[in-house]
Amino acid sequence: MNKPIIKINNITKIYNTGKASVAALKNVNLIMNSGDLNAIVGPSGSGKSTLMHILGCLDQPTSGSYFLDDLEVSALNPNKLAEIRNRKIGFVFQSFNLLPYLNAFKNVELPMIFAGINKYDRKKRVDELLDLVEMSARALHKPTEMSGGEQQRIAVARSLANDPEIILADEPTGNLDSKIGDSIMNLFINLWQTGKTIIMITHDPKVADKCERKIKLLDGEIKK
Amino acid sequence: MKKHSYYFKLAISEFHVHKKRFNLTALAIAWGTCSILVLLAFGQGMKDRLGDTIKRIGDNIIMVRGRRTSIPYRGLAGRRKIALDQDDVALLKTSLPELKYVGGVYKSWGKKAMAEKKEADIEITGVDGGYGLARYLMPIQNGRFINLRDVSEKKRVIFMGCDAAEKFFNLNDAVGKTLLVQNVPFTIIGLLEKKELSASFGSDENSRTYIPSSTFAALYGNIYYDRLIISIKNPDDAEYVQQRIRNILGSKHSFNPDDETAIKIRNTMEMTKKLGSVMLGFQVLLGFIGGITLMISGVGLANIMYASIKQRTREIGVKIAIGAQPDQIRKQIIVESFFFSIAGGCLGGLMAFMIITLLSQFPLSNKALQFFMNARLSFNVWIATSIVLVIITFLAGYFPAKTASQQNPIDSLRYE
Ligand SMILES: Nc1ncnc2c1ncn2[C@@H]1O[C@H](COP(=O)(O)OP(=O)(O)OP(=O)(O)O)[C@@H](O)[C@H]1O
Ligand SMILES: [Mg+2]
Repeated sequence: MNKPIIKINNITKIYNTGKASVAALKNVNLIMNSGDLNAIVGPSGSGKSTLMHILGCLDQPTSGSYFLDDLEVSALNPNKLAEIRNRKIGFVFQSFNLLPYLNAFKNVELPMIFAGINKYDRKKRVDELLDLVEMSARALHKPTEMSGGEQQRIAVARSLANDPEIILADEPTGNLDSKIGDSIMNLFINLWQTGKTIIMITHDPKVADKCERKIKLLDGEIKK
Repeated sequence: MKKHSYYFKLAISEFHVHKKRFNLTALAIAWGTCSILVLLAFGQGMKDRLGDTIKRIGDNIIMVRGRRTSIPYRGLAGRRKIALDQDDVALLKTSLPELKYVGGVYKSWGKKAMAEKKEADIEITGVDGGYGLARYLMPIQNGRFINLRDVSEKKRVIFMGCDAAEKFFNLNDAVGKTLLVQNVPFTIIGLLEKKELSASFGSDENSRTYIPSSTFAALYGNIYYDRLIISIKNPDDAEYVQQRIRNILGSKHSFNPDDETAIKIRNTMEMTKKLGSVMLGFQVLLGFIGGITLMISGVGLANIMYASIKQRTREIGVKIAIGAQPDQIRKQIIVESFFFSIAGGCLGGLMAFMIITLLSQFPLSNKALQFFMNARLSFNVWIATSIVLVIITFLAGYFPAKTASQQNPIDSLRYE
């Protein structure tokens, strides 16, 4: 169970913003094991989202290497990276990022369309996932017709579409009130119990304490 | 690698969600195609009419009228009247082999005519048997023009322009009826097919009437012609022939060949030439208008396409973030833009066809507006316009799509 799934060696990320360059991550080394529930904590601007985007293959580090399942990710082209995001990683955003013109069903179905899964299997899987996040009744509703908590449930269902090994969540409860946030948190804990590797950014110490492992970032560096 | 049908399906599966955008883009293309097609169809209609007119002006005609001298010549005073008659026609015929036809024309401006209990003044022209052919006076339906026998037998027959005939008769059954001209009965042998424009040197050919010159002379006692009508074999000879006519008639009537006012000579070659250059100019103008219209719709289209893809930056970012490959996105947008533009091009062609068909249903009596009815759609213009707009749509969609799909998804997600 405890085999490493993520290995990061000496990663640095520098943003160049015309005037100045900001080092958001500085020589970060990290190993994460399969099946763990990880929390990334730290003050605002410490580089949590930056690290998360790199882990999610949404962004590339300026230097250093990243092995996902023993695959050197920094060497891949954009199409190959898209494939990895599609199959191996589920990403949940703070601001949900559902497509507004698609209903819940289609939003959840989308990653499977990109994966080239046939219609029958897609429908079966979407029904399953909507059931899991207790949103079956809202399958035909568009995001604008749902509350934030409901949208985030749909987003979680979408992140699970292609049954990825890793779920990444960047402050998934940040836009929700605490009660709704707790129910979303429970979703992640349930997922972890089914064997998924979960990495989430959180500001809530209560949530962080529930996690097996806390990774503290300060000024782009990991604090032990 | 995924099959192309995959991208097609992807585009189809999202088709309904982009209905509005589709409508806008397809309409822009349809509108561009339609306006160019209709515009050029009108232009073509006008060009056709102009070409037709040029053809109908008649062969290369030179007209000669006797006037008054203004230069004293060989002891003869100025302001002497020059009048042309049968001898002049015969003289020109024998001395100028370049001529195809020479004929004298008698003219009377207002004669009282009567038929079907209606009375009106008509303009009467006395001509010989070759005149009709030389002037391209085509009879409609079952009629005919005055022929050689009418002239040699001094027949009382009359050929009428439509406007003149309409004063008395219904055009459909006028041929064969009798018209009294100053109480002398004439049989109508034919009506002139309507001419929009002609080198008639004066009055409108549609309101003239024609009788044999011999009949004219016998009834009204004219000796001198109002004018000579001459057609030449080769239009390039016009200058030379006109000079020769001045010389020949000058020595016969004793006037200075350089005396511009002694006889007045005009020709249709100038007019044909003028119309020809008008037509050329017109063609250039049409091309220009077509090009400008195409450019305007192209710019509008590019704008719509660009804006709509830009609008989708965030959408593209989300899709790429959840695993759409940049190539997939790009190909989907290409398939979409082809959809739009082909649908738009077809729609535009259909719209243009409907507009032109609808307009041709209105019988417009106004001659100047008849190009509406004559409007002719060009298949080639349709294809060319569609291709240009398809390419513009494609380029205007492709580049922003490419940029958006190559952008870091995180940046696209931040895009508002
Ligand atoms: N696209 C960017 N361009 C320039 N600088 C950036 C960019 N994204 C982040 N940064 C900078 O990098 C640093 C780390 O940002 P990051 O978003 O990773 O912080 P965070 O820990 O997620 O903060 P928060 O808790 O507020 O979300 C910050 O100083 C930020 O200003
Ligand atoms: Mg952040």
